[in-house]
Amino acid sequence: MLDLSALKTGHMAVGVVADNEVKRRQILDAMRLMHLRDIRDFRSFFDLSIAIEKSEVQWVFCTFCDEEGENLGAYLEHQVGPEAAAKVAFSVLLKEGDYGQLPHLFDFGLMSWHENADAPDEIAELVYRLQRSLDDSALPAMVAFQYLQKFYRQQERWGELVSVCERLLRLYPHEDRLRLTLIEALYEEGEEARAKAILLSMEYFDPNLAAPIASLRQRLLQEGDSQHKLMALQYQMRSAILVDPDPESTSLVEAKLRELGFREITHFKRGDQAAQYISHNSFDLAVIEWQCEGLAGPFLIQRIRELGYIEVPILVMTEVLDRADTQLVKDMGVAQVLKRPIRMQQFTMAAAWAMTQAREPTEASSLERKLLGALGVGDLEKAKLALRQFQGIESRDPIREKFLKASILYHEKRYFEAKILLIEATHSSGGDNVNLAALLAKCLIKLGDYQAALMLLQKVTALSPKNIERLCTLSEVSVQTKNQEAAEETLEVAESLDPNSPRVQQTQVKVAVTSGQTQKAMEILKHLSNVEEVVAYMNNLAVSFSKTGDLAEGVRLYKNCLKIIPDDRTTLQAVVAYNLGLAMVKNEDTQLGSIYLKQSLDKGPSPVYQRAESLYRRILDARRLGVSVRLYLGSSQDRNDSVEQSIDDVSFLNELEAERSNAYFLRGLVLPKMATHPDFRLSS
Amino acid sequence: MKAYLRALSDKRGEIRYGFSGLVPARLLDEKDRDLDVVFINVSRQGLGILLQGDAFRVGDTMRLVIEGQAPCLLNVRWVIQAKLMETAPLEDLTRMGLYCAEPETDLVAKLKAFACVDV
Repeated sequence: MLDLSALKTGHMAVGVVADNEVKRRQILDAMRLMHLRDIRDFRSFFDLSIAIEKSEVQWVFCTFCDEEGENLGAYLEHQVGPEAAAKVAFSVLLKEGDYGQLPHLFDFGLMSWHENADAPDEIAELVYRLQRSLDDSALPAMVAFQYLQKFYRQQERWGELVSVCERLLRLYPHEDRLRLTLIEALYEEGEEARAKAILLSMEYFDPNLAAPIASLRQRLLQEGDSQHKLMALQYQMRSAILVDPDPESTSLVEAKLRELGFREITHFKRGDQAAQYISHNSFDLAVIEWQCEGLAGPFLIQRIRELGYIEVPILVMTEVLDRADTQLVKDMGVAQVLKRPIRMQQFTMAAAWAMTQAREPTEASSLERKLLGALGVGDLEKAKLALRQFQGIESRDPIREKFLKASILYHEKRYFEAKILLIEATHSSGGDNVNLAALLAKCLIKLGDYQAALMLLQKVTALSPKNIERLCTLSEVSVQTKNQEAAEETLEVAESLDPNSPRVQQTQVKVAVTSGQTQKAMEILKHLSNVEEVVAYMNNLAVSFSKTGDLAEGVRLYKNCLKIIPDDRTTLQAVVAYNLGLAMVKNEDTQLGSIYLKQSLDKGPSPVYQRAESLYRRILDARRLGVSVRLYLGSSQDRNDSVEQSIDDVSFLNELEAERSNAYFLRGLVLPKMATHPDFRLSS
Repeated sequence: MKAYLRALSDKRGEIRYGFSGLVPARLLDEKDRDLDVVFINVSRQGLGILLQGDAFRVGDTMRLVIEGQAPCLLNVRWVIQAKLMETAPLEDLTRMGLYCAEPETDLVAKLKAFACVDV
């Protein structure tokens, strides 16, 4: 992939193509004025192709046509394939008569366009502006979008601008600049209601956008300085849940929440009622009595986070809080703990502060929650943005910073680097930081060091004994170390705390499958939504057994795992069946192995289809020739049909990454899929 | 050097930890009245709070009473109108930065015993 920072610093090899020699010289002079050193010029796009193929040019600065009359549109469409397009950036100097070609040029992968200029210093100024627009974090798509939107704005083609924004937002859902352009374009297009709805739903995440957001709000919502707005409305927070058995404080808290602007306040006397409600209804703030009946506060807040409400502010009301609870409150990122009897003034301030920090985080702990929330939904870009904001706090804690960096590395599957960082942080913190130890344990599990992970998890669960997630992980690591008894004992502890927790149920399935109770596992699995996570765990555990030579245990687990996968999850079935088939072949049972490989193939397209097909054919060939199947256990890229497939729960979800790579700059994103491109050969 | 001048010359970059009410502590004004405050963050020598009203000025004194410990004298270092919203009940919210009047005081160490600081 092209590194745009090299263009910013002038360290990119430039190729210049122009429609006449004079223009070519003007551009070359401009490039020299900008101190670009590696510059080559070409008479035609055809000549340029060879240099691109040899990776001798990374940035092309050209006019619309070359000296032979070939134009850039036709060249990008017919000569530059997706692979080459990802290695080269194209900028075009365009005469007014050719502006109409811009949407198509961007759709074929153009990076920037510039109004035609003749003087070298004028052209140099255009290059300078382009370089300035490339900050370190500039996404290629956003660079190209800045140029495309300039054209659409000039032409007032708002409908097309809306379409491009929408396509890009699907790939980059957290690019708020895009969202702001979309709002403006919708407004200009006459879709005022939609524009307003999007504006109101925006989180004020990036402080740099505060000014444009305020200006849009003023324009669209007529919000002047004198406009008074309730806080919850301002932050688009509509509903709150209140769990409080005390009728007196309930009415006071409810009144305060309404004063803050919450329109829906759902009250529960018991925690289990609230848990039931939140599994089907969303909410923007939670106020919870710690000692509530049914499901106590410590477990209700875990359910809230487990359901994905990682950034929702939680206020806890309590008379007492013991040390173990304290750790849990920190683990779950509770915004404020309020001591009973509740002082209403204090409650209002705490709620207001929590709401502000949830939407416009400035404090380290709030940014940390944002970051972890983003990681929770697999959004690495948003997490990195939060990290950058965290690093902008002068008084940040270096240990927390390392923890956050390690959290990102963990999600990037860079477990070894995360481990090193966490060990460093643990040394600096004096060794008693629960979060560091828990994350380190997760890294160790991924790196296969189950014994060390087990010891760490035992230590952290002793410090925070009500943390269900960690108890479940501890139980699962016990399974991995083949200590079924310890696994069941730990699971029992978790069950005694919150038997209906989905996390506990997940572990119940895993422990049941490993102990051969597939029927029980299937029963529990029926009520779970995240089947992938459970199957991935079982499959990967079997993979690790197979890889360490314990084929019998691997085969047993694969078989049990295969039994519990629901019928409609064909990809999962295909992967596990392939792994089982491979394990059978490794175990020299090619007969059964071929049956499972066939089963995998019958499930249709899957990440293992080619491998299963290759191995299946080789078994059939070997059978026909009367020889045994030779497995390729090395790292040959040509023969990877003998490698087990791990199931990564993220990779199944993260298809956007692939789409983003394909759509380098704005390739394929500007025009509707069925649009016919003009015939560039004729139009030139 | 006067205590507040010393505090003003302190490095602002001192690490601040989140502080979400997890502490048996009270803040008293000069007349020993219990103040309704929300503790926001804490550093070794400083405390960030949120309170309603604008009764305090830079240099005013308060006492932080942590359960089981001797009171700790604090001075107001800075006051800003938080202005979270312009409507009731939030129109007169104030953020204040307090600093320890005694240079040897370490608030983080004092609070660490309660596991209330995100250290």
